[in-house]
Amino acid sequence: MKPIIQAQELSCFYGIVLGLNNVSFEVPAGITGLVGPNGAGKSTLIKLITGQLAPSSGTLRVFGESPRNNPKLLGHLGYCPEREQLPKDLRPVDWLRALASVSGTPWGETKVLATKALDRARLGQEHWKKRIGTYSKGMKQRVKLAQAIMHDPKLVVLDEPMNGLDPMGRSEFGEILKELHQGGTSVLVSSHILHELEFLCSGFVMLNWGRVLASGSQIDIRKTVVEWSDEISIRCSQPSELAAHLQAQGLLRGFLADGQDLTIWVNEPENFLAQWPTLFAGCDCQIFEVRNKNQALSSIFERMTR
Amino acid sequence: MKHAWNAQYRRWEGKSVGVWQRRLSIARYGLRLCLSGKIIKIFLVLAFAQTFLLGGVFFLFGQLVAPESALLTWLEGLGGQEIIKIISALTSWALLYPEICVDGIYRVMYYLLTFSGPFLSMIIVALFVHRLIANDLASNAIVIYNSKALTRWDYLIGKFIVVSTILSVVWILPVITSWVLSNFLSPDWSFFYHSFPSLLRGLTVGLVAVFSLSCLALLVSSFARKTGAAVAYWILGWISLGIVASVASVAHPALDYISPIQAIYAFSGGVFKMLDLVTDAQNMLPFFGGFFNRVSAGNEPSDLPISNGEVFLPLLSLSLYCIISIVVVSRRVRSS
Amino acid sequence: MSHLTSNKARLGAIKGVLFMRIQELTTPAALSRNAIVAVASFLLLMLLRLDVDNAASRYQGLVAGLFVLKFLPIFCLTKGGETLRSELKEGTIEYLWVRPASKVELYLGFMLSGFLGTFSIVGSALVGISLAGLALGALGGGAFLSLWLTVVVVVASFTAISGAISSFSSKFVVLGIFYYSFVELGLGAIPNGVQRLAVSFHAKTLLNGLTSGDGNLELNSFAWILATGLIGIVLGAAIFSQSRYVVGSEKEA
Repeated sequence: MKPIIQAQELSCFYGIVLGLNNVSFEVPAGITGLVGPNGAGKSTLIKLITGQLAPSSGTLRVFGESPRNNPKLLGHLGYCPEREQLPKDLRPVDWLRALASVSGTPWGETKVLATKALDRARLGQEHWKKRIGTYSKGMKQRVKLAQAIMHDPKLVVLDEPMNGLDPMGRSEFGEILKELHQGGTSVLVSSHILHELEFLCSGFVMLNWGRVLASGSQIDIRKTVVEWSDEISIRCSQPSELAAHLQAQGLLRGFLADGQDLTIWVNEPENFLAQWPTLFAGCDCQIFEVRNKNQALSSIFERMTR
Repeated sequence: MKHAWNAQYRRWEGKSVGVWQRRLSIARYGLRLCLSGKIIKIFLVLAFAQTFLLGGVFFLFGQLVAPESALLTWLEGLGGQEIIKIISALTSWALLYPEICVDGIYRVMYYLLTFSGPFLSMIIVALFVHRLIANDLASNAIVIYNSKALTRWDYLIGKFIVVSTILSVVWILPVITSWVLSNFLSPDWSFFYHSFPSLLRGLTVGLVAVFSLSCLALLVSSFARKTGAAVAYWILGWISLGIVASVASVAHPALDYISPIQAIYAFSGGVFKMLDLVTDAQNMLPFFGGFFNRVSAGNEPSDLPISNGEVFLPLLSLSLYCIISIVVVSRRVRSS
Repeated sequence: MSHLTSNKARLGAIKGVLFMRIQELTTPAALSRNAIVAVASFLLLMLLRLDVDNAASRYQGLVAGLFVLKFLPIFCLTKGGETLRSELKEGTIEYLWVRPASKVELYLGFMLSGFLGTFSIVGSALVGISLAGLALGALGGGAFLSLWLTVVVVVASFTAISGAISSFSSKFVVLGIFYYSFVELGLGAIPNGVQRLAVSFHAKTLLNGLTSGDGNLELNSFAWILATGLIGIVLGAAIFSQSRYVVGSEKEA
């Protein structure tokens, strides 16, 4: 499948300050996470993708076109900035109507678009009459999302959209993004909360100090791990029995059981995993999930940025 | 026992600095911030340059009354003995009536200085007013200040010191420096004594202007939610109050003091009492009386467009502005 | 599929930016503020009744001399560029320039929005001022029209100049005051080549004899004022469309 974003030896400098340094990557359609610590270059990359900045060198193509000074392409993009400031004296419908008009939507159609977008962003109608200045952080994030998806873009770019949201809000936000994806819209979402993106995104671009550390699908990134940790987390029906069973075979250095979760520390990780298919013979325990600590995305990222 | 390698957090156990030290550190930081622009420095240099203008005039006057001054020799070279005679005739009165002549020249010059003060103050304050309180309110830094071991009054005193220090360069510094400079360069130590009342007048006007304009600058800065708005409010408030005062004075002349600048002008007139000076000069200096009668076509000094001004009402108006400013500003910087 | 691929509405960016401004200016707080300004201006000028003999000459001095030639330039030069600068400082401009609209169109939207913002206050004051003029008998029908037209073009021109200054500096307020001091008060007051570009010079001509006749509707003066404003708009649009701004701070372009 043709990638929606292609960067070739892309660099962007602010005077002598480094934004992005000679990066090359591709982003396929779907939900893609853009992760990296503060100052990694995420916002610079997002600004390049949305045409707000011009590359210092290299090329960037979005849907095969350069986004800089390209109104036709910008019409297919939706963008939700990180900044929280919104026009506080306006009502959300009015603001969205104005933005739709700036996008070139005929005035008569703007109201329908605005209300539909607010519905999709799950901002309750009882809040529509209030001015944005009176909104909570979560409500503001929904208004920001609504303006980005209002015109049915092909790609929505979200810069740290989950900042300030409570766990419920984050989960709901993830649901909205999944719905967008199901509707055929690709999403590029930046965050430093890797844990959330891990369950939401099919692919990642990992950045640090203006360089791409890894990019591709979750599976591709996990393949880069060559060392296995001696710490393994298992979710199963009878953790204590399973621990006793493995202990009896002399494989464990220690274990910790908590509810359905069992964390074990093995003597030789590679041998342990090699024996994996036969390990559980004779143990009446149902295994739900197994995770090696090193394969958690956050752990991979931590090691890459070290 | 304490160990040098103990890396745990340790509370500061030394002696804390006093509250004035803390206020002064707010002032120091504020001054550094407010004086960071180039344009404000240019205007402050311009304001201070008035010192040399005043000092120059006082020095020349001193040299004119000095018996063997180089200036007289130079004038003799230019216009001959006639010029010297005329100047000697005129300046002999200065020696005879120093309380009028020496004090008079200082009084006139310090009075003229009060005319440049408002304009320079308007421009200079406009260049830093947004950095006083508006910046702290807009960036929520006020919350951080309030969380420190300082009351809002300490914060306000610190900010007040910032504005008043800068405004002193316009109103007070030229008066003091030019007085000291010119008296050290004067031919006679009696100049110190005779010019002292004028110094006091100049300082009184300067202190009142600095205090009231500082309060107003803090008020304007605390009103603005956006930093840019503080500058606009300061300049527009200046002009708007001027317009309102000029219209309202139709109803009653005292309403002219709605404008703080008109109040400062009137107060300055009341302190310097220029009409009294002219009357005294006319009565006591025969050459001035004759000269005055010729130029004023026989009019009395009271017919001239100069007055003794007022002290009470302008001061009342400025005090009201100060009280309002202090009340409003202290409420605006409350921690709640 | 996107709604924007074809049939793009004409001048949509200008309409959108203006719509936002109109919404902000019609909040109850903004409307009450305007009403207070109108009533206060009216009542203030009605004080001239206390000096009936000189009311007309005082009205001329206050309206032409102080309001139009001193207050308006400074007000417009300090407020005109505010729309653009506050969008840049607060970062809300990001929502606008990722949309398929040209920067020139956006800039024109900001300028018209700035004009609306300044005129909402100036217009309110002018309602009070002109009603007081009619009530005092100091203003005739022709002079009324002349006053309004002059104020509209003066506000438009100074707003455009302020906008041009704000397109390259966040210190547009201070620079605006310098512009007023050097160009309007300084060079505009003495015969030289720049005098023609001084808005106050032409405004003074237009308001000459405001209270003693039917006004002075000189097309030449109107044309010069508008030409100055046009230069401001063209300069501002050129700078805005070519500059790279740091969003969310007071840094320069």
